[in-house]
Amino acid sequence: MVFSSIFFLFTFLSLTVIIYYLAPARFRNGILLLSSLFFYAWGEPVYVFLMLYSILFNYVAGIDIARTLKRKGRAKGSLFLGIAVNLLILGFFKYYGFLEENLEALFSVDLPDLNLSLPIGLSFYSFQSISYLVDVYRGRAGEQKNIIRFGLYISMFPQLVAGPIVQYSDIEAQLRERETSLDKFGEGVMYFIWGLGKKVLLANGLGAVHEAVAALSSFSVLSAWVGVFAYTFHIYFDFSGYSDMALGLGKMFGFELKGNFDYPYCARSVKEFWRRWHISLGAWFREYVYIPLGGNRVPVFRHIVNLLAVWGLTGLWHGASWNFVLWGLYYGVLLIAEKYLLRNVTERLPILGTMYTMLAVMIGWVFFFSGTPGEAGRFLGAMFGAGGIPLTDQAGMYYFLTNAVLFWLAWLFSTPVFYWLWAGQMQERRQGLLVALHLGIFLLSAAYLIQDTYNPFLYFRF
Amino acid sequence: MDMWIKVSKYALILLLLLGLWGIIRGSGRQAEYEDLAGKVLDEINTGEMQQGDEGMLRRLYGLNAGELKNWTLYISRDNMDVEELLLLEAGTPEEAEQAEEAVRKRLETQEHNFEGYGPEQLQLLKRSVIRVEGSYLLFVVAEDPEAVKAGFLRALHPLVH
Repeated sequence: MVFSSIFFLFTFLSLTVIIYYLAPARFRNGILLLSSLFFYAWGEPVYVFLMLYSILFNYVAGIDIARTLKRKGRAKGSLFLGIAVNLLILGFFKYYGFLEENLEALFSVDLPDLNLSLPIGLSFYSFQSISYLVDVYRGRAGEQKNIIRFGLYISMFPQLVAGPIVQYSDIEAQLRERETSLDKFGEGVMYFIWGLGKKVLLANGLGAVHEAVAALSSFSVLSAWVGVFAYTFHIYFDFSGYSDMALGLGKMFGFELKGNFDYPYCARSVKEFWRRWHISLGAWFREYVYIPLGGNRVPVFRHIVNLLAVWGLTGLWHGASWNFVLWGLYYGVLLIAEKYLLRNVTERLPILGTMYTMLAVMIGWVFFFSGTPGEAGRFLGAMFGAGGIPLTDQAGMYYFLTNAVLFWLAWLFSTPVFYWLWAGQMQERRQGLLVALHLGIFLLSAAYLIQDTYNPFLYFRF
Repeated sequence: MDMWIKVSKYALILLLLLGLWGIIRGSGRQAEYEDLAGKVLDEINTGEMQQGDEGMLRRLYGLNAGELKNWTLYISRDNMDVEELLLLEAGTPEEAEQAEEAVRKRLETQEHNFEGYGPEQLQLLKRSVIRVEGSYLLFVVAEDPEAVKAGFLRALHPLVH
């Protein structure tokens, strides 16, 4: 089930909200847990058992770690075993095919061909489980003895399938007690509608443009750039829209989840871009991989190795194929170059810095959307006119001109202009206008959803 | 209590290992063709399509129906539409791979036919799915080919799809 669907909006969400608020406070976690499991089982009727297993195992493992904390060696052993089980599940269901393909190519062995489909949200809830175990081990949070609260942490539907990745210590207190109010609910509804609008009114249209360009049998420089531009904004509005919806849904049920995006396309360096893009994933890798490896308090060579390891893993987290690993390493190399060669100079150059970052990010997305490194190389070649590719062609002009307004809107909405307008003017003085604006976005989005069959969601794959 | 926690933890790990082992062992299972075809057809609207016969299979793909164990073909009634579904069970995985070659040739021909004047059809063709699983082959050109592929895989690997 996706948030941007008629069934979710008018049946699942409405019923869940009504039942949640009619029930006494002590039953609300249970209601959210049951609705989350139903939400998951709707799309994954078999893999819901894997999620139930994950809840049960990590619940027991967390208590085991907490009980052995006085004997540090044993606690560490329990922690490693817990992490190993989570990585085994993630590795088996997400990376078996990739491993099989590469091992068979390297060693001419014949491994069983499993063709496993990726359980939705596995990458997200595995990382949340590891966060819980490590936080308990480090004493940042106590073990959760209430299995309903713990189950809710792992499976909560607002952030289950596409994040943000919630670190356990950030939400522990809210699982116990959280404040609900009409104001907070209203704020949640606004976040949700804003995210829905981003997804349905902008991302879907941009996605269709990218798909149409990718299907062309030959490229010009212009059509390649139109394609990559459309993808750049498609993935932003798709993912940040989903994150806004998750934050909004969280607020509607009393939770305060941390923001996952902060206008990343306004960044003046790649380093700043990653402080603004998929913030919860960056924070997870920093907290649970980068810092344990020594962070930046190590000699330069070791630091470079650490950065490449973290970024290689970040790439691999996004998908089990070499183009994602390359994409991650590409960012590792850029971050190393910014720190040690450019000395972060681009951060002091307002327009040039943003242009450099956008160029670097758009090139990065080519690795991301291409099926293989070779395909990415060919697309990059087209973008820069390699092999005598013409500057423009009829298809490129057609897609550029017919989508020019959409592209302008996409760029405008990726900047904080509308937020400033909203925060500075409308929120304070024009409540009626604000309500009308959100109602308009909601109705328009619902109309698009009824009419349009093209409604993919990119981050389901990860 | 501590003992109970430990026992539960190791029992759960054992359960996981047994489950994963079961998935690996069950991966070679052969599906019943009728069941497979039913699950694939559930995922596609064949209302605007016609069922293909042996002649059509030979004309479009160059495949001989007599050499296949089972097969199902649907193609669009209208020549300007490109929706198409071919599901077949070959005698061996190698024969299924040979059939895949034939299907790829058919797809190339269709792409060539619509290139330049049928952008919507071309887009559907580019999004088409060709999937070989052991002796089974699926080729589908449709609005949502991924759903058909998912139905195909679910039927073949019910434990993990």
